[in-house]
This record gives sequence, structure tokens and C-alpha cells, in this order.
Amino acid sequence: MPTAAKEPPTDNAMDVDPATQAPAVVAPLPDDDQMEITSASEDQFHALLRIFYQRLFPFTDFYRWLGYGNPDNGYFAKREWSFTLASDVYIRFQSFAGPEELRTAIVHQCPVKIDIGAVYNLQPKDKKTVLPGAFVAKERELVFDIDLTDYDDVRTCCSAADICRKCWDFMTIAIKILHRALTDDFGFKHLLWVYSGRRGVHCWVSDDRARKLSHEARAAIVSYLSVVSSNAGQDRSTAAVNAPDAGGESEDDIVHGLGGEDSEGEREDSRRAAGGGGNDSAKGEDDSESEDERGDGKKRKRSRRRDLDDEEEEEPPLDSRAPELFHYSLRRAHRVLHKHFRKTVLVEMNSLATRPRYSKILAMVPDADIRTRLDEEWKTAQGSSIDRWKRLLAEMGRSRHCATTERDIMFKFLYPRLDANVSIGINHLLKSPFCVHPKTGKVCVPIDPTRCSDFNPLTVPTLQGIVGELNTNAKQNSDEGAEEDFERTALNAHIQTFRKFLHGIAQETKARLRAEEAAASKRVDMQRLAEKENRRDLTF
Amino acid sequence: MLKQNRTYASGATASVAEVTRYNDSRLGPYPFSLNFYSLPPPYELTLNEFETYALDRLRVLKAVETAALRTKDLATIDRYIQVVHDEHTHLNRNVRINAVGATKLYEERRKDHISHFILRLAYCRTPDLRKWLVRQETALFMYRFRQEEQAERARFVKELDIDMPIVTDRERAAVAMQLRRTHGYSAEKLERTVFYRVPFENVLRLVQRRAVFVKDGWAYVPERDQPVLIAGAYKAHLTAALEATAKAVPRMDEDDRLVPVLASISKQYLSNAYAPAGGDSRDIVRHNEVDSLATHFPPCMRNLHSALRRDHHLKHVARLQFGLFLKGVGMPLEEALIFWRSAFAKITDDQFQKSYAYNVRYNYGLEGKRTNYTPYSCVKIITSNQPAPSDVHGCPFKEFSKNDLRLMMKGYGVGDAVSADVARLAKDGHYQVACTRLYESTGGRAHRAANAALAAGAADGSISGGGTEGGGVAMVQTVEHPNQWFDMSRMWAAQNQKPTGSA
Ligand code: SF4
Ligand SMILES: [Zn+2]
Repeated sequence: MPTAAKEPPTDNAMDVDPATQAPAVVAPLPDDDQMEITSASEDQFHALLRIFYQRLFPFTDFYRWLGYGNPDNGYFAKREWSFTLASDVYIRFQSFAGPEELRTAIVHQCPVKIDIGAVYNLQPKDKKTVLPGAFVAKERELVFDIDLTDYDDVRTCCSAADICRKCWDFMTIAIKILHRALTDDFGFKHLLWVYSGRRGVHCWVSDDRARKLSHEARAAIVSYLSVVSSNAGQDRSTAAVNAPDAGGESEDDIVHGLGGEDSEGEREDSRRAAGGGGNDSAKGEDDSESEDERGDGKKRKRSRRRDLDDEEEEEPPLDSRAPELFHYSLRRAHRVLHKHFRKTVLVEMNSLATRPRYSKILAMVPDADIRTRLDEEWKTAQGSSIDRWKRLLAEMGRSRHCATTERDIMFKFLYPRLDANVSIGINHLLKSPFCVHPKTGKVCVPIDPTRCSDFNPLTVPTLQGIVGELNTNAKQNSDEGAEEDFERTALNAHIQTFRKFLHGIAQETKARLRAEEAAASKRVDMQRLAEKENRRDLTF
Repeated sequence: MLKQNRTYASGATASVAEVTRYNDSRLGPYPFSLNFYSLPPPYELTLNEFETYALDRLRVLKAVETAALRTKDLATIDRYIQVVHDEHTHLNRNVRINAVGATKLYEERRKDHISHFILRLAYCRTPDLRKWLVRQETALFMYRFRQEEQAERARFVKELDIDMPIVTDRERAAVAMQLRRTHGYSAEKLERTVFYRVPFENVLRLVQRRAVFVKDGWAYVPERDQPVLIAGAYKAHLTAALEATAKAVPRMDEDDRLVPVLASISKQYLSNAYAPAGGDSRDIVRHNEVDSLATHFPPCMRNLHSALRRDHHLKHVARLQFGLFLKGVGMPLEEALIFWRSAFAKITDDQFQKSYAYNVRYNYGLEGKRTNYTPYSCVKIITSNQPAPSDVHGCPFKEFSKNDLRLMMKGYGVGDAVSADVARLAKDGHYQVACTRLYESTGGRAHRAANAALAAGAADGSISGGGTEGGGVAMVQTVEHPNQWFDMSRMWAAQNQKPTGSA
């Protein structure tokens, strides 16, 4: 239920009144071939859910994950868990010493939704025993929440809660771009991508360093990763591709203000570099790196020529913001966008086919001549999005105002749209992996980022499906004693994905422990050495 | 910057001469104008010193805060801070050592050192206070950093020994393309630039704006952005120190002489008494001149003035606020009695003598406690005598509804942008800053418009004017006092009425 995940109750919510703070009833069902849970089958759903928790839910794996190799220092026990019960009662600030306690509670209460919160300075269940100020959130994974409902202005296939394979492309692209940025740029290694059960994905960046990030650091990372500005409200994507929002933050420039001695010169420099310059080796290399799906040399030549033209141009309205956009991480993202734009936007979304659709794109073209000309041309005739896009590119190639427009459009349509609040607040809750979505019955399974293009949200295991498999597949494998129940179900592959992620964490923990041990023994050695030295001193 | 920092070796040789030049023993523990305040001051202080040092620094920190609220332009910010800074916490740079003498430098730096630590004590008590202090102190530090000479900065930074390894030529070559793309540097420019490699957490400001290249969790910070690193280090240092102080303070409470002083410092509003421009030699203001002077009144006083003209009456607190203001403007007792008598047009002489004359004389110290009362400062107006809905006294920026405020701004003829800006400041509780912003943006134009309106018979202060921002008025110090606004405005008018117009 992404709605609830996005706006978890505040800290005190539960103290006020559990009933009124319960998440709102979820939106109407997707109207496709997915299984629906009607109120008539609610009892059946809970019976299945209980079996799911009893026999399939990977509690020990959760412990391995959230224990982070610190079983003794109570790290796991200081984690907040919250349950949404079938009665819509919402229980916050629960905590469990270990996997058995967690299992007992979950099997017993059979929550329809499980949220995972922060690691606190004490066990959340003891919250009431201390003064309000003395209970503080210390750490949490750096999490991201991307939801297809935020793409409604560019989706033409479905809207609101519905999804299909076509628009799932937006999520695939988001995973590709964010994964690269988080690993390459920030050096994070342990990312868990999870299907949110309906129309989005979550990411849990679980590195030690990520968990310890301050509020400000999370905000900075989110800003670094945000291009299409998202206003918290309905229409998050109206703003054009732009530099990260500096306006709200510039107050801090006084704190960190610079002398700005050579800023003039810098700007000159950057404008030149951003505007292009075909003989510039930086530019050349970039071209060779870019994966031009169409592979037509004509396009490449055109863009070069255009870049050269721009260098002669004195007018910098777009170029002046290009340096931001040309940040390395955005260039890298741009390559991904470029690769997907044709298939996703032109073919599947068919985003230039009708007047309401192409108007959105034309609105981003800074050259009024082009806008009117193409609108005249297109509004009566029929035409494929691919042809129209080509036509638009040709027009823009001739215009002096459109140096970055093609790129801007791609970012606007395809660049990941983040829910900043979820990521920034340390004490925000996010739905746990392996929850069952109460409306779709789908399990929130991990997604392997290296194979995210293969992920199909329409075929993920459902509660009915896997519990059914438990029965039908039981006999075949009954000989193999050590087997776990889930291995006989479609859940198996996804738990293996989860374990791959856990393995990475375990490796690092092991390495860390080894290093600590080594350091400790070295210290002992040094001590011994020192003692020896001392004795020698004595003998002299 | 820091050519000599390219390698440590050459840096060291380059600064030997400077080190000897400035290593003046008379500077004691303060070889630099800049200070990270790592050690507490070991001095004995009088309570009086204690308080003045703290208040002087606090004034500067307030100015630092205000500057940031008022503008985003660093040069303007620095000019703004400089005025207050040089008055209250002047710090001579090392280049001035021969001009002013080492003793003076030492004294200034000692005071700076002490005052910083007093504020640490005063502001360590709550997270909010700590946050405020860290923010302003960091901004102050960076202001001073910017003012300091290049060589001095480099020397200071070197001595700090902040952990920011320089990227080797080979490392730089490996990411040359990315660095150039991030900063738009040419190949030669890249060659010439020193980069530091630090955890990205240390330069969040740059990360946030994608103004730095980040790889594997390391940020490659160009020398141009080195101040961000210094600021970050200072901020981290001070934050930690304040938290430590907070833990230690309960023990300090035993010295009970300090407790009230510290408590009052952190609550201090810096309401300095108003000293009239021109001193005693000012012109006397006569009772019949008030209407024509109203164009120079700040919003609060204009509001009272128009209420008085409308209702022919003002309630007690309003009378005090307005009466003392007029006294500050230069109206002697005799004139004040006539002014109030005629203003209260609906009552008899008898009633006036019985109920109101006493008040007027009281204001002038001739009745009651016989104190020579001074005009209310903004802080006093803002914080005391909370007006009831029917009252007209108080500060409009605080008391007015959003809509009333908008109408008032319209009355002053300021543009929408300024109006929105002022509304935002007022909403956030920065009433005086809002007032100052209004003063600046109206400048002389509002006064002219007001004059025109007055001439047309609309003496209630509601003027209509163009919607554009008035240029030509430099950023002024925050309005601390209604009489300050009056003096500024009158002076401005006097200057601009000269035919040659030497603004
Ligand atoms: S800030 Fe001061 S001068 Fe301005 S309106 Fe308020 S009280 Fe009057
Ligand atoms: Zn769809």
C-alpha cells in the first residue's frame, strides 16, 4: 500500500489514537486480470496469510539482514516494527529480540501489512519508559520509494493504481539509473530492490555507511538524484528538467559561502564545455560512449554540428544550465534514457500520437516557431510518434534555442521521480519486503537489479498461488528432509535473490570482523613487544 | 588559490618567511585573526566584561543571521556584516600588525576568544539554541575567512591539519573526464587545479547541487570549494564541542553568579536604547508638524497616527507607544500637551486635564516615578503589551493579518515580489527584518508618494504608488527602533531634496 508507506504516521501517532491513525482504506482495485480480494473472501485471505507467515515468510533471513552481523549488541532488537492489522488497527513501536520473537508476534497477530522503521537508541517497545526526548531514531537504511502514480502525466496506457508491462518500463529505468548512481557515485554496495506489491518499487540501501547517514546527508543525496522536481502535491512533474533546487538552500551559502574569486572565469569555461565543441576531447569521448540505439550516423553528425553552432552563438539561456545537467551522473543517466526513449515513450506510450499528448512535448520546446508549425501540421493529420519525433528533432536541430531540449524531454519523461520525504526522514517507515499486498495478493518480492528488465510485476507470486503450491508440490519433494517449505513454491527464486543480497552483507561483516580481530591481535603484539622492550631497558 | 599547496614541500618553503614575519610572540596564542577555538580561554574576567563581551558578539551574530535572511548575494551580505562586525568585534588582520600594534591585535583576539566561549555556555542548553549558534558562528567564521588574505588563509588551514588529502596527479588523470564535465574545466584548467578527496558527507552542500564529482563515496573537491570543507570542519567541531559543553554545564551551575547572566544572554534581544540622531541640538517638533512628518513614520507609528486621526482617541498603551515616539522625534512637553489636547477633539478641556494630561507629563518624567522614559524599541513593542484584537498598538508585522499586511504594503506602493518577501519574513517571525526590507524597498519613493497623498488631503497614510521596487537605497542595518526608521527616512529625504541630488 504505497499510500501508507509514503505518509507513515508521525512519531506520536500511536499515542494519540490507534484507530484514527490507521492508514486510509486503500484505493479501488486495479481493473485487470489480477486476483482480487473481495470482502467475502477476506476470511479466506487471512487463513492463507497465516499459513504464509507460518511456513513461508523468511524470518531467519530477516534476522540475518536486520541484525547486520551484530547479534549481540541488540541492533536487531532496537528496530521499530509496525503492524497494520485486519481490523485497520495500526500498531507502532514494536520490537523483537530475535527471529523467534518476531515470528511468534507476526503469526499470532497476522498483520496485513508490516512496516519497518528506524533503529532507535533503545528498544522501541520500551519507548514509554523514558522521557519523550530520550527516545531517538539513530539509524535507518537509506530508502527510496518510486511509484507509478507519480508518472501519470506521462503514462498513456494506464492511470492511478493500474499498471501494465508497458508502463513498468518507467520503473525498470528508474532502477537502472538509481542503482548505478548509488553504487558508482556513493559507493554503496548492498542495495535491496523490492516490488512494492502494486505499482512501484522500493530500495533499501543497507550499507553501514548508508544506515548512519544524517538527515542532511539523506536530503543532499535525494537532491543529487532529483532532476524532475517533485512538488509533494498531485502534480509532481510539471516543472521542467532543471538543476537541483538551489533556491531553498541558498540560505546556507552564507554559512559555506565561498570567496568566488574566479567564478567568472569558471562560468566561461563551463559554458564552453557544456555548449559542446566538437574538437573537445571530453565531448568526443562522450559521443563514443553514448549508446545510440538508432545507430544512425546522421543523428550524430547533426548533434555535432549543432554543438558547434552553439559555440558560435552568444545566447546562453539553455546552455547556462547545461553545466548542471552535464554532471557526470546525469550524462550516465542520459545514456540510459536515450536507450529507452524510443521504445518506451515513442512506441509504447505513443506520446506524440494525439494532440493532448504531443502538446506536452511541444510545450517544452523553447522555440515558438517550431511549436506553432508542428502543431499546425499535426493537429489534423495522423502520424506515428516515431516519425513525429524525428521531425521534431530535425526542426530543433535547425533552431538555435533548442540545444538541450531533446535531452530535457527525455529527462522529463523518463528520469526517476523520487518521493523525497520517505528517503529523508530517518524515522519514516517503509513496507517490509515479502509483505503480501492486501488488495492484489501479490508478494513484495525482491528484484534483482542486474536483471531488472526481466522483472514482470504481473507474474509475481501471489498469496493464493504459493500457498496452493505448498499443497500441490508437497508430495513430490517430501523425501528431501532438509528442504524449506518455500523452496517448493514460486517464492523460491525471490528468496534466493534476497539471500544473494544477504550474502553480500555477510561477506562484508566477515571481512570487518577479521580486520578487527587482526587489529586487536596486532595491538596485543605491540604490547608484548613493548613489554619486552621494557624488560630490556631494565636489564641495561 | 594555494599554489604553494600543490605539494606540501613547496608550500612549506613558501611560507617560512611569512611564518617568521607573523610569529610575533606578542600575539600569544593568537597567531591568526581566524580561530577554531579549540582551547578554552584561561583568563579571569569581571562579570561586567563577561556580559559586554557576550553581547557584542551576539550583536554581530544577529547581523550575520539577518544578512542571510535579507539577501542571497554574498557581497551584499559581507558589506552588511562588516558594519556591525567592525563596530562590535573588530579584528585586525595580521597585515595590520605594524599599523596598529601587536598588543591591539592580541586584545581583539582575546576578546573574540572569550566571547565565543561565553556564548557557548549561554547557548548550549537546548538543541535549538545550539543549532542557532552553530549556524551563525559558522557563518561568522566564513565571513572572516573570506576577509582574510590568501596567504593567511592557507597558513591557517595548514595549521588546522584538516583531513583532506590532495588528489594525486595519477588519481586525477583517472577521472579527468568526469572532473572536467562536472566543472566545465578545460584540460589546462584541470591541470592547474588542486583537488581534495574527502568523504561525500563532508561536502553535502556541493553534493546537493551536483556541484562536485562523487565517486565511490568520495567527493573530489576543487580548491575553489575548499572553504566548504573548512566550514564543514568548523561546523562539526563546534557542534561536538557544544554538545560536550551541554553535558558539562549542570556542574557549572554551582557558580550561581553566572547563571542569571548566561540565561539573560541567550534571551537577549539587543534592545539598545535609542540615541537620537543629531543629539540635543535637534530641531524641536511642534504639535502642528506631526501630520507632515508622518511620511517618515514606520508602519507601527503610521498606524497609530492614522488611528488617532480617525478615532480622535488612543488607548493607554497606544498613547504611550506613540507619545514616547513623538518625544523621541523631538517634541517637547509643552508641544505634546497641545498635540494630544487637540487630537482628542471629542472631549472637553476638563476631561483632558483630568484623564490624559497626567499621562503626557508622566511620559516626560514629571509624574509618577519621575523617570525620564525613553521611546520603545522594536523589541519592546513586539514583545510586551500583547494587543487585544481591538487595540491598535504593537508592531504591524506581528499583529496584522496576512491580508492587512498586504494592504499595508500596497499602501506603501511596493511591488508584489517585495510584498511577498516581507510577508514571508513576517510570517517567520522576523518582524524587524520585514520592516527593514520594507524601508529599503520603499526608499524615497514611498515618501514622495506619501507627500503627494498628504497634499491631496488623505492624511491617513494610505498612499498609492507604482508597483516597482525603489532603487537607490542601500541595504541598511536592521530597524531596531521606530525612531531609527524616522531618522533614516528624514535624513534620506533631506539629502534627496537637494537640487543636485547627491544620493
Ligand atoms: S519593526 Fe519596529 S519600527 Fe517596524 S513596525 Fe515593527 S515596531 Fe515599528
Ligand atoms: Zn500501463
